Amino acid sequence: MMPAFAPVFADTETCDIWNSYFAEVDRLVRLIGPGAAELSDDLRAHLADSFASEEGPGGEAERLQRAIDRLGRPADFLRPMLADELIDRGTARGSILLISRGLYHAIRSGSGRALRAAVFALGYVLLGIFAVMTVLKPFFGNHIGLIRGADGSLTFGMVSQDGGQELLGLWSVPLTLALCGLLYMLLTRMLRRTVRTV
Amino acid sequence: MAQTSTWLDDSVARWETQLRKGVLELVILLSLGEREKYGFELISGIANRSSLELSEGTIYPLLLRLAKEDLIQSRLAQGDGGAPRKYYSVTPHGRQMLAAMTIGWAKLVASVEALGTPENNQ
Repeated sequence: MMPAFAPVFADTETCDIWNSYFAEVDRLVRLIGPGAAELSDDLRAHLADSFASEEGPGGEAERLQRAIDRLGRPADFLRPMLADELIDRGTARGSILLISRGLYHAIRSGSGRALRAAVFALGYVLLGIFAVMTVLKPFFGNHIGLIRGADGSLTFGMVSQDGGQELLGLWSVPLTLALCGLLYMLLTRMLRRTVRTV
Repeated sequence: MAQTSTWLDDSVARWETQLRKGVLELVILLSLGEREKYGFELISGIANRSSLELSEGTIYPLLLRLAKEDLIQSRLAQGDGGAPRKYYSVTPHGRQMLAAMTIGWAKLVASVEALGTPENNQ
């Protein structure tokens, strides 16, 4: 592994700019995981080379800032990688926590990736609502399920009014939970396939 | 009119960004196929020789992915200023991939050019 490298700067302002930039890089690289550890050193070496080749006007701090502007904001180029890594790990383990974090970072990374992530996030939210309704059904039997209202209308889902009649019964709970599990696996498999093609 | 022009500029800019992203892998393999290079040399070389406006930071996650896919490899060597530099080169698997991608790219360019030519000129 390449040792962490920093050029020798004459003034503290330049040092602060460098340190602040790499604090953000290191934070994101740590979140990505050990597979990306070398990225931090690669970026340090690149910025040092870029700074050394910077011949424009201005002092040391301005030259470093221009080199940083060319390299880009760490969040812009590391967040998509972080999102892919989290989704990859999450879908491999079936972990909704990792998947949620991955989708959050994918949405924040923008472009087409964000749109795809938003669609999957919506899918998981709807599935979550469906699962919660199923779990609550034994406790609110006359308000969750396929309800025939007092006026004869049929509603599937949750109703707040009293006086309705639930038509499915508790036998539907294990069936619906199994359906939730199946949909979760299908959605996760689709997400995994989508990430691999990005 | 000005609104239409802005919309067109934005749309073309988005399309160009996607296109650049798509060919970046090929561009990196082509550049490293010539000889091994360190990161800054690779990126500045691509920027100087092509009109591709690269966000430099995006290259490093891509280099990491290409290395994971065994298309490129790296080695540490002493740099000019004394600090070690990481030199990237194309693996044999990467060369096979590059050859296939170059053929695919040539076919794509020919197809698009053929569509851009008026039918009565063909």
